[in-house]
Amino acid sequence: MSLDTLRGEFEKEIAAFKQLEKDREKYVANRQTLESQLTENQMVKEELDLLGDESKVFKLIGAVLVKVELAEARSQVEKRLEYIQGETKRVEDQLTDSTVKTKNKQKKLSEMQEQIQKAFATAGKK
Amino acid sequence: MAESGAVQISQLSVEQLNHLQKQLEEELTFFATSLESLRGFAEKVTQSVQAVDDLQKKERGAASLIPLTESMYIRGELMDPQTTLVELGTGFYAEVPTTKAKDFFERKHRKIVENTEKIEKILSEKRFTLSAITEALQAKIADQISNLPLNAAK
Repeated sequence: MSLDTLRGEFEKEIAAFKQLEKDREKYVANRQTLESQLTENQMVKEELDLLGDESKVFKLIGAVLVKVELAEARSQVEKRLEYIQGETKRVEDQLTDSTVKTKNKQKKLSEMQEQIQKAFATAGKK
Repeated sequence: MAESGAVQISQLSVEQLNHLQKQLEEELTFFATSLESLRGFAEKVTQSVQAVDDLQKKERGAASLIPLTESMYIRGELMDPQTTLVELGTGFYAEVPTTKAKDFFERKHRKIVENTEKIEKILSEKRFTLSAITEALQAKIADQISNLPLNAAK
């Protein structure tokens, strides 16, 4: 392979690597958001569980407080928690996957770097 | 990393140390920001506890000013000092007796304080690790400088 093609390939790989890192950052941010949502919903669940059955519960929808049955509120929060846990699992998988991909890319990049250096050395000798 | 215990910091390369240092600094910033907002929340909850206390002393018919905006109020009369509407989070509100409201805010406050303490602990641990890494990094660099061929020739 000529030096120029090598270099072109190398730059392409670098761009791919940067994209991978960007994706990773995005996943980490997503996980953080999910974590805080999980904490908030868990707190709401705890509080709803502490309320007596006759308590009046409202949900803020837009600018209106709508009365909801306590059981309904509990099941809504429960569903929300399930959803968040599912999403967290999905993001965790994405993160693991992206870590593996980044590592492989890194390996490939350092291999290519060596190749380029070798090509440079041979070119210099001629 | 430090918590693995298996890897000695002194055995890491300058590059790895640099990377670790950067990562730790980012984590420190993150936790410091979290701590800051937790303290803000604690302050708000304390205000709510205070408000509940004030409310409990009032009787039906007590005059009050109701804020419509932060700088505009209308006159109001307290109809029921025994009941309050508290925000549970995620858009849910519950109507609870004033005494229960106080319990609620105190519970919330306790939780915030617990988390604040947790984060303070993490922060001081991370700061400790960071200073160990910075030290190792400086030692490494000093070592490399003294081993430069230029100096070795002297």
